[in-house]
Amino acid sequence: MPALTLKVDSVQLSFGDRKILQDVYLSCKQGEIVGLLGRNGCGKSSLLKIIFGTLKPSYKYISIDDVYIHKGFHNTRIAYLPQHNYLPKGMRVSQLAKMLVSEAEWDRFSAQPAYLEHGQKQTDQLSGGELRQLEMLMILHSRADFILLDEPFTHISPVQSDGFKQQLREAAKTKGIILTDHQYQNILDVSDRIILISEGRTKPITDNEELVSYGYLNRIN
Amino acid sequence: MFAGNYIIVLLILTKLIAYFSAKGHHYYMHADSFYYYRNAGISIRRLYTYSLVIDLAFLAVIIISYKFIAACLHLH
Repeated sequence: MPALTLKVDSVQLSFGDRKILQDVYLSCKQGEIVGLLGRNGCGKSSLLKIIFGTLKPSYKYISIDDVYIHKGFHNTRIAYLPQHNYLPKGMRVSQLAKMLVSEAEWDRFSAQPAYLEHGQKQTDQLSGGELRQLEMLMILHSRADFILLDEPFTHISPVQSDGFKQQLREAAKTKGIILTDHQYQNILDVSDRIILISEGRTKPITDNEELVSYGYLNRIN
Repeated sequence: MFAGNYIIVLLILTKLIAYFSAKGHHYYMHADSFYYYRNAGISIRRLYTYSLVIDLAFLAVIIISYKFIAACLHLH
């Protein structure tokens, strides 16, 4: 089956007089990880919510294989990991996973050490990091063709981050992934392409030095 | 007859109040879980609406059955 392509074009978003996004173009193919970088308040999370369909901009054109999609979550084409913990409290992880994880992916998901350890626990018995790990695993093994991850490395220790990156690459064999995080080194490590959002515009980054010239970093480590 | 209709209106009103309260409670107290349901392909608003429709349909069946039995007994 040929790889699907998600295209995001001409997104315009304002909050009052303040223009947040005005000249946005972004594409992501299945099998690709696209890293989104930008300063605080530049509109990274808003852009992901617009693609998912839970934030309404003044204008947008979002398509999958050139077919316009009104809201990304319709027919579970796109899944979204928000910044905060999203699993309902007081419910068992295994119950929640069954509704989110695709049947085709279930065996691989249920063999994950995190699920084997915590699958029978309730969500309020888990720490923020454990919950984050399970939430991300569920999203990566969901039915969606495209995955949007908003700060997936938050609450995660460096050792766990390495495991995460492996899981991301594994998921990217069949899905397209767009992710953003302030831990830019993790984004640079795992992404096939980097897009910088600056002054409401998307700028493809071909050389990491450009992150300095656009004022996102002071220097490259 | 008037008292019977009054009770039906009261029952429907109670169910509508319960529907709006449950929906409001979910949006204010469990807003974080919104994305769980969206990612699972479920709309919480639709879920509550379906519950209300099923609830009202069940109520309608009970009322109609009651009226039918009452009419039969009266004819008998």
